[in-house]
Amino acid sequence: MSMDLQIDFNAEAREKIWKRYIKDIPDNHFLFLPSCILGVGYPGSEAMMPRLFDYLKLDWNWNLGPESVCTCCSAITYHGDVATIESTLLTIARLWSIAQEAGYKDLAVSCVTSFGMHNECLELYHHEPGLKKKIDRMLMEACGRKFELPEHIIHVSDLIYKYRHDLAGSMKYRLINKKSDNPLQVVDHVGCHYNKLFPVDKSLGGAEYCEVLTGMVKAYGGTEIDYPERRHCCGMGFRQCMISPNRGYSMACVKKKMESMELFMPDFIVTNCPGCQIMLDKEQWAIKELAGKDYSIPVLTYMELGGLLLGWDPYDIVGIQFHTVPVEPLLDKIGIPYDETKLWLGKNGQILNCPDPIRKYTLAAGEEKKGQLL
Amino acid sequence: MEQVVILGGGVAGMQTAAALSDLGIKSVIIEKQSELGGKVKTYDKIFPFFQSGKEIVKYLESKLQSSSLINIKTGTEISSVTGSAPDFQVRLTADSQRIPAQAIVVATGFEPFDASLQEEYGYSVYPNVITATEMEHMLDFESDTHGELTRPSDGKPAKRVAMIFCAGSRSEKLGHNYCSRICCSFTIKQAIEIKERRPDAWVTCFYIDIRTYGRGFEEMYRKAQELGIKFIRGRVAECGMLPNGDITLKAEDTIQGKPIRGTFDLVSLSTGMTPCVDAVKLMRILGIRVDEDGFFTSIDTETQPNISSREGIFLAGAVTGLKPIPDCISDGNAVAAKVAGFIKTQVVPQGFV
Repeated sequence: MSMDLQIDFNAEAREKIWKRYIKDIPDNHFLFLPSCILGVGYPGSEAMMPRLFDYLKLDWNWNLGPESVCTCCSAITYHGDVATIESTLLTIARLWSIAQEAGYKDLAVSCVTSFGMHNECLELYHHEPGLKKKIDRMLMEACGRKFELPEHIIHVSDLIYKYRHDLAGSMKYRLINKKSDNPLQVVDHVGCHYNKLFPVDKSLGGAEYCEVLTGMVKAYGGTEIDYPERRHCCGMGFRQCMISPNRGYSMACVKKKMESMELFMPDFIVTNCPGCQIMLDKEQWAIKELAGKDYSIPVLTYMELGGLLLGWDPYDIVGIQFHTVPVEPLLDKIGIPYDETKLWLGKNGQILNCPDPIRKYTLAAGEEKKGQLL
Repeated sequence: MEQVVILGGGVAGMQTAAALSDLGIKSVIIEKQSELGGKVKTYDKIFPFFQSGKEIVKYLESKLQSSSLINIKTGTEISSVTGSAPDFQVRLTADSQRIPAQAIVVATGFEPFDASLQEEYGYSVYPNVITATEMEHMLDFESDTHGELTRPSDGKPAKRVAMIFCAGSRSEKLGHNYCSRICCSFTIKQAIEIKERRPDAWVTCFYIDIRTYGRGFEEMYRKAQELGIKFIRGRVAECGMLPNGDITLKAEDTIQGKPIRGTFDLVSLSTGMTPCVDAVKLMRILGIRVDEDGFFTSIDTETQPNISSREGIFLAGAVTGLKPIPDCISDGNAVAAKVAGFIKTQVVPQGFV
């Protein structure tokens, strides 16, 4: 399906709407809570968070002692119907207790599901009389700890949004096509648990015109794409992706989004949720295998996007080799150099065995087919 | 001689003045806009009998002009009210003149709902999503569109038209729990106009319930169905825009029990009504109360709907809730009778409760 004329949406009106939903983003003295899955799927993305906090000279911490005391927030089990809400309330109360013991009232969460879960617990305490007392008792019985409600729970993308203009000022590259000099067209995909659970006071820009990623894209020189399935879920949902018979639903969601955005010819997708990043990137390969349709639209996390534009090494620091849809064509578009011999170069200077057969084949196909899923 | 100040020069205010004049009572109409007629003066056709709203306003204006007891002040608002009934002193923003009044009638009407607040429909962001008020303008042969139904994005004819009912009404999320009462009929009237002018148009109405309750309303609804206008029972979840400006729409068909999608040239939002923009200001100036829904409080909705919470101040038209034009005109007559009774006896009628 091709479209002969591009009609633009009214960007000024969109600005007015998202500005109805703003929030405080405390950036001084916060505890950083990493994600369970982001570091596994896209290790560079999570490893860049501490790097970027230091780059921005923020007062933050994540290392609270010699023993690892932070656990999973348990949202994955709660949303997967494996654990009860009481178990999750207790797990999160323990995390808050640890933060408060170390002197932190504010938390910056890496994972969108976890961000939603922390806020859901907070809301439950605000609305359910007697709940705090109950969890106080249970926490004391379970591990002898006490806890208070945190003052602020933010997502790390909130922080990056706050500093987007400062970062843009330090960036070596802009979201501009180096050949045409046109801004790159970017699809943002905001995790549902960032802006759909509490759209009014926890999301930057609300549910319909969420600004957290778009604000970064605009600050970095790109333009946003508003396509019909923009707000559609990526399909991860824990009951879909974790339960084998439901997996087809996950893929169908990605396909629906891809079909819708394809008409707008995006240069890439940017995400702020580990689950969405995995779904939108990995499922493109699965769709290619099962349905024969190749979209090959690169998917970056907002951290990877920032790192690449700051000029950090695409393989060594950003870790684009962990992507299923190759990112190199996008780097070519922007003009970011990369050295493919470093693709699987280990820290010890030895070449590692390629863990990803898809990428191996991609590279083997040579220049002509570079960037396509094989 | 007795004098009444009427705030608002829409059809309810105009009819109040005309009825008071018939009873030999002098009145001053204070209208914020530069002309009388309120919203009705912009309606080319009104439901259910497709009469001209503009002609109704002209008829009321001629009645006012023929009376020597009616004074009209346009382009001004009240700034303060001092004293108490029957010795009110009303000051205007336009000059320092004080207008004595034995009674005050509030007939300041309503405001259409700001459709951009129902964010999922994309009004103001997507050019081909419009409001019913804008549709009315488009269908008016005397407007700049000459009655042509075209897409604002590119001027192409709009053949596939969706009409979304209850935009801004019956919504707890938006704080408007009430039904705006007139939008179902107003929108069905527009759908009929589109279909009659362009029989090959595909007109689809998405509704929650069809509330065509007045005389001739249900007959109009039946006519719409007979013309081939499609009615789908279910709320629209979201609108999006394709690169060529087409609007995609997701909804639920609650009769078939399944989600549906569609692509349209033009989507019209049947916007509900909200209290007049000056309701809070007037509440403070006049010392009268408003209800939780933002409309003015009557002392008893059942038996004294036109009597406000303050002695000597009366309510007419849509200020106590949404009403179709005939009801607003009846309200004008009813208020005039109440005001005349009050001026004569100085006794405020008591409600049943």
